[in-house]
This record gives sequence, C-alpha cells and structure tokens, in this order.
Amino acid sequence: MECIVSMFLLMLLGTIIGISFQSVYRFLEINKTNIEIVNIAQEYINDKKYSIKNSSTEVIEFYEETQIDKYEIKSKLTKLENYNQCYELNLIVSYSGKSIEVDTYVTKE
Amino acid sequence: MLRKNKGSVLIITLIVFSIISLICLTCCSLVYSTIKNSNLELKSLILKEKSLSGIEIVYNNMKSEINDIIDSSNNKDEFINCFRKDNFKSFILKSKDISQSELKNVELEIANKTNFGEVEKLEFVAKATSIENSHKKEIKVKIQIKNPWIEVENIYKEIDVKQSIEYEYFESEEYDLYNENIKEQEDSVDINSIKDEMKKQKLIIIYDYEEL
Repeated sequence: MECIVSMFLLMLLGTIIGISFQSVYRFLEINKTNIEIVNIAQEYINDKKYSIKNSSTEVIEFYEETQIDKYEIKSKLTKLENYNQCYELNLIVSYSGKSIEVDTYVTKE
Repeated sequence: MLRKNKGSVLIITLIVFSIISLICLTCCSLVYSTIKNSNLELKSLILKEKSLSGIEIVYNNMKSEINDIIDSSNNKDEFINCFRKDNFKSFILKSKDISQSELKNVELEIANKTNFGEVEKLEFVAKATSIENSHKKEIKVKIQIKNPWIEVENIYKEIDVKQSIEYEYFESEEYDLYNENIKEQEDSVDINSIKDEMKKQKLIIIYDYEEL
C-alpha cells in the first residue's frame, strides 16, 4: 500500500515538473517577445525623433511599413495643424497577434 | 528489517514531493512576476511618450512665444521685460496650453527659476505627468532660454571698440571716410534681418531630464 501511494506521488511529481517547465518556457517566450517589442518601439521612436529634430530641410509627412527581424513596424508621421513645427508620430509594432501602439509628438528644432 | 523500515519510503517521498512542488511553485510565481513587469514596461513606455509629448508641446509654444517677443523687442532689456511684465504668468500659461492638441490625461506644471536681476538667460522647470488608470509617469526637465540680444549687443560693442582703437591710428580725413563706410554697412544690415537670424538660433535648451 505504502509503495503504491509513493509511486502515485512520484508520478504526480513528474507531471507537476513537466507542466511547470512547459508553462515557464512558454511564459518566458511571451515575455521575451514583449520585451523585444518594447525595445524596438523605443529605439525606433528615438531614431525618428532625432532625425526629425535635427532635420535641416522641411520634414515631410510619411507612412512606412518595415520589418525588423520577425517584427512588423507601421509608422505614420502627420503634422499638427494648430502647432507650427510639431508632428505626431504613430507607431505600431506587431508580431503574431501581439502588438503595441504608441503615439508621440516631436517638435523640429 | 523490513518491518523496521515500514513507512519510511512514504515519508521520504512526501518530503521530496513537497520540496520539488515548492520549487516549481516558486519558479511559476517568479515567471508570473516577470511577465507583469514586462507589461508594466509597455505601459511605462506609453505613459513616458505621453509626458514627453507634453514637453514637446511646451517647447513648441515657447518657441512661438519667443519669436513674438523677438519681434516686439529691440534690446536685451526689452526682451527680458516682456517676460517679467506680469511675473512670467502669461508666458507660463501660454507655454503649457495643450488644449489644441489631442493629448489627454497629461498635466503640465512650469515654474520660473530665473535669478533676480538675470538678463542673459531665463530658467524654468517643467514637470509633465501622464495618468492612466492607476499608473502615473512624471518627467521633469529644466528649460533655459537665452537672451538673443546679448550676443548682438556684444558684436556691436566689439565693433565700437575696434573703431575707437583704429581711430587713434587714423588721421581725421581717413577716419571720416572709414566711418562713412561703416555707417553704410550698418544701415544695410536691417533690424528685421537680425531678428530673423535670432529666430533661427537655438534659444531654448532642454536639459537635466529626470523620470520621477
């Protein structure tokens, strides 16, 4: 009887270890994607802001779709009507259903 | 011998079971908190960009205000007095006006930190706070505005000093001719073109960025 209970407990332990390892791996993959999406969005915004701020010519509104590794990036720049040299940058970074959208303003110096 | 060991296998199995279950649970909770953290990073990025957008609008408003002040002033004191006439109140109010933008849930505070009697530069501290549900992000920056007339007046002072030094060496007739030429050159430099040049300069400096 004691051996049967022990065997049952060991089987349960094996199942628990398997399930937890599998879920930890899956969650870590999701987490890695989230962090990469945030980092890509941040870098892309900083890059665009720098080029707009320091542009020597008139900034032209644009819409572009690019791909960085597995991530798809859609960005749109529009001039704000009520402000002189102020632009709105809209950015969407997506990968397999997960996406983030960030809106930011930038003023040309 | 077998009788003596009765029950020990189950006890050892139970101890191993509880230890390993505890380790698994700890791992799962650690991963869960990491995921929560990464979601917070995403929210933090959105809120940070909102706050920075507020600062960008403040910069834009200040720039257009300064251009108006340059148009209405003709020397360094007039430039400074335009800000000081109501203790910076109207300038600050116009600078933090974001009503014409689509920014929501962003609060702006601007405080004057200019030293009394200072004419060369103006100092401000701007704080932008963006709020979404229970999350909040504050960004504090220092803003410095240079008085563009200082540089222009310094250039004219240098010209005056140069003229007075040269005057000692020039004979009176030669100097008259020289002086006439200088006057012609000065007249050709229109005040409006000087003002246009001032507007092209980078008069507003944003520094000491802090996330609170």
